[in-house]
Amino acid sequence: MMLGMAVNRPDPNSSLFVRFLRWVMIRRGSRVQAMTDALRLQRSMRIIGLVSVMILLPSMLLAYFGISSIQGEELAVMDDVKTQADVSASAFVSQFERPLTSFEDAVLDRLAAGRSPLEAPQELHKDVLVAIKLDADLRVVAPFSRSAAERMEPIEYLFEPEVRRAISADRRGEDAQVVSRLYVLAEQSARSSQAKARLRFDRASLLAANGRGLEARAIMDELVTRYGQVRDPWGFRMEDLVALYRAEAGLDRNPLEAAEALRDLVDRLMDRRWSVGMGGEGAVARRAMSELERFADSEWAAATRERIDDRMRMLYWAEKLLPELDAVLAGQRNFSVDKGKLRWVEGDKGLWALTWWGEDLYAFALDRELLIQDARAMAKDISQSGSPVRGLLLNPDASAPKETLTRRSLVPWMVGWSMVVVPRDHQALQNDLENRRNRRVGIIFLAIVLIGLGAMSTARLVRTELGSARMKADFAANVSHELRSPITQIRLKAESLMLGLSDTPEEQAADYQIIVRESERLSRLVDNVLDFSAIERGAKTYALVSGDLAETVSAAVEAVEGSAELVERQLYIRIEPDLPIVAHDEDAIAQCVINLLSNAAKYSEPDKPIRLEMAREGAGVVVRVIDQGIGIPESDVRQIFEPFFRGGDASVRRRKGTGIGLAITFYIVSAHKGSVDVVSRPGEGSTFSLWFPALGGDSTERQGA
Amino acid sequence: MARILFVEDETEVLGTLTKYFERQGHTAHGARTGEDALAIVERFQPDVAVLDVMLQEGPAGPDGMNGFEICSALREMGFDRPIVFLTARTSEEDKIIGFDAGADNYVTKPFSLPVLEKRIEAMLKRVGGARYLYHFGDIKVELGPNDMAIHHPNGDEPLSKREAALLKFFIENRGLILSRDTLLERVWGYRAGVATRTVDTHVLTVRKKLRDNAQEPQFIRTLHGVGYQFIAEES
Repeated sequence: MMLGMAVNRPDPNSSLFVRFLRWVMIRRGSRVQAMTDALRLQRSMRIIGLVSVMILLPSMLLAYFGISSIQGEELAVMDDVKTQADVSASAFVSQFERPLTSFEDAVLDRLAAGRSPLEAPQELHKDVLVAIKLDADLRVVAPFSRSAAERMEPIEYLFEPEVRRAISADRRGEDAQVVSRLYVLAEQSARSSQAKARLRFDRASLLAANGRGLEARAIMDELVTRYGQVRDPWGFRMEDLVALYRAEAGLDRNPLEAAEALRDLVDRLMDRRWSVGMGGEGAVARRAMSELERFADSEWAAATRERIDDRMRMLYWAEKLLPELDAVLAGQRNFSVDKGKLRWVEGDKGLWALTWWGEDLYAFALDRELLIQDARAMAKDISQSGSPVRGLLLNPDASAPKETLTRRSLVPWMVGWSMVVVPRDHQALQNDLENRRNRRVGIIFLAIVLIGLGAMSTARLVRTELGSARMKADFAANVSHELRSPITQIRLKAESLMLGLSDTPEEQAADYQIIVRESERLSRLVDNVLDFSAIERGAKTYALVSGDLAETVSAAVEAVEGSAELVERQLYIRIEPDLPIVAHDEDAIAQCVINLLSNAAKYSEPDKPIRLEMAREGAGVVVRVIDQGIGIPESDVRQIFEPFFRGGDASVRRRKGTGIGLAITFYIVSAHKGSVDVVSRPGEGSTFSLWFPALGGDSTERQGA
Repeated sequence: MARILFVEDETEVLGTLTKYFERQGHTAHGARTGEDALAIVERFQPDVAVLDVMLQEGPAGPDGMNGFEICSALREMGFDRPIVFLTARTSEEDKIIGFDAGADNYVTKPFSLPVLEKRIEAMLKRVGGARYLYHFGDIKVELGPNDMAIHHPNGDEPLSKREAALLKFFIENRGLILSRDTLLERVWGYRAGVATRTVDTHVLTVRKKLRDNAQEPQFIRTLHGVGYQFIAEES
């Protein structure tokens, strides 16, 4: 309502804006209409402004907050993912570094406690391949030897003709005497003492197997004395081989003694430093253990067997890794590590941990391949199901993928390596973000559309309301004008009679006549307005009495013929005889007819005739009022029966009238169960037809209409 | 007395208006359409214009000019005398439009004739009274307070205050035979019977300035032994 007031009743005296609009209008040339046009324009502009504010402001706010909430949500999602990435990366790093740091601590603890870190190094870290102690000159000190003197001769001796002959004869099982001689010959031709010792042992065992035990034992004794510390080309020490042989040989005769000997042998072997590249001690020890199994206490046997295996494994790895250590140390020449720290160097097969302790250098090779595998598995582990991220282990050559969320380097253990966390499914994350964005944008768009629709329908409503408010205001102004005109006349004539302006009796009579005529016009108008008000209230009722409609219409025409509006018009009336009886309210019908006639007069030139026709039509009677006036534009035809409506055309607005005549007519005809029809062509004239059902006829039937 | 233009489409109203104001001694011109109104203004230069707004019933019909349009047309052609709207349209908007179009007063119908007259007189007084401009063929007689002269096509004849008052009295009582005593009493304010020569002298001067011929007078006829009679009709 406030809206309507604000727009409807501007104060033209105080509004600079209206003055400006008026000034514009005057510039455009229409001086008289300037104010009206300015006010109308201002009203439209206010509505436009209002709608803009109603649409634009909320839309902009909505868009602003919507977009920031989208950004916020995206940030939140990304934050969440990033947090998860960080957590995962931290978990990975701690899982990766824990065994390594505890390895470092354990190594240093053992050194500090005076315990060798070389013993059972797998307890320090499960992936330790070898643990080596070197002296200040970087010579291997423990736990095995790497003496150049012990270097095995190549097994070339097997290719020498004498040796081959002897061995193949032995294999063929030729006569022992012959084979023994062949061995002697081979021994004589052999160049290295290793080969000589081995060939002599082979000869002794051949003789022993062929019942020449005494001879064999002599040879073995001599062998021990002369070549005891010598290794054969396979890496076996002669004294070990002989001891094993003797013990085995004695097993049948005196098992306990033999077992004791075997045990001594094993103990001796275990006390000794084994040599890299030579599996002799291990093979002999294993063989001895397999014989001892029956005698020895199983716990000792198992522990010993394990120690043997450990040593053999270490030797295996040492053989493989020592060259790498050489390279590492060469690359790290003059390196120094604070006491109590370890230096990590990555080799090809091993990840080396180096530390100085006093004059000793300890080197540990961890299985690099296994470490990397484990790290890969760990990295994979962090991307458990449900986690939006997954881990990747990157080698020094690899570059991080562009969707990397976080990256942790594996320094100091594996320089150059890093672990990165990426979205588990980058595309899915992007899609998710996009979907969320689209959904929000869609909602915002929808909201804006709804606001727009709401504002537009509000604007339409406001316009309609303004229009109807304007129509009502016009109605009030029109009624006021229409009432004032006859009153003016009456008063003027009364005044002129009073003031003696009319001298002659004829003049005076004319004055009285005008007073009477204008009073009738006034009362017709008042009737219309009151009727309309009653209709509006729903309080108007009509007394329908059966009668001759033609008579009622004729009486109405007679009563109105002399009125100011019709007195000079050509009025043609044609009424078909013997029309059916119609139940009707005489006053109401008269009101309809007078309204139509007065409209016809009002909207046509004074020299154009007006026709009134009554005829039988369908099951009833039709009353037609036909003029040759200005007609009604098609756009207005639907509205002319609405209360207060007056044509938008200037030619209509200039004419006096209230805008309720047709509304009342329509209502009256409806109350008679009749129907109203209008045919009109602008510029040619209009025909209004009122159809009333005949008494007893079918009220719904109207043909030809 | 003033010269008033009434524009009103309802003949009865127009008739009553002109009759009343003529009776009150004014000169009233009636017009039923804008075109007539503009022609009258051009011809007679009225002192005040009284306009109705809704002029649908005149000869020009509803498509003719309405009162607002007449008003602004009058202002545009330089009419600077008071304009009064006399209309049944009472809305604020209409009044604003009316004043906007250049009106000085807005009187709503129905109205009282004497009150309307007082209103017009009051308005005239504010703008220095009626100009008392009369046309007799080519001769224009102006008897307003600011300019008292007889305008001939080939030159002006200024009038003294007394001469103007005398001529005005003649014009306002045109057709009537006025005795020297009446003139002396009404124009000079003297008691009758004193110095009637004065009257003759002034009449003679006025007649000379009107360039009237005493033998065949167009304006003032001498009725010997009776008095004078103003015989010219405005045209």
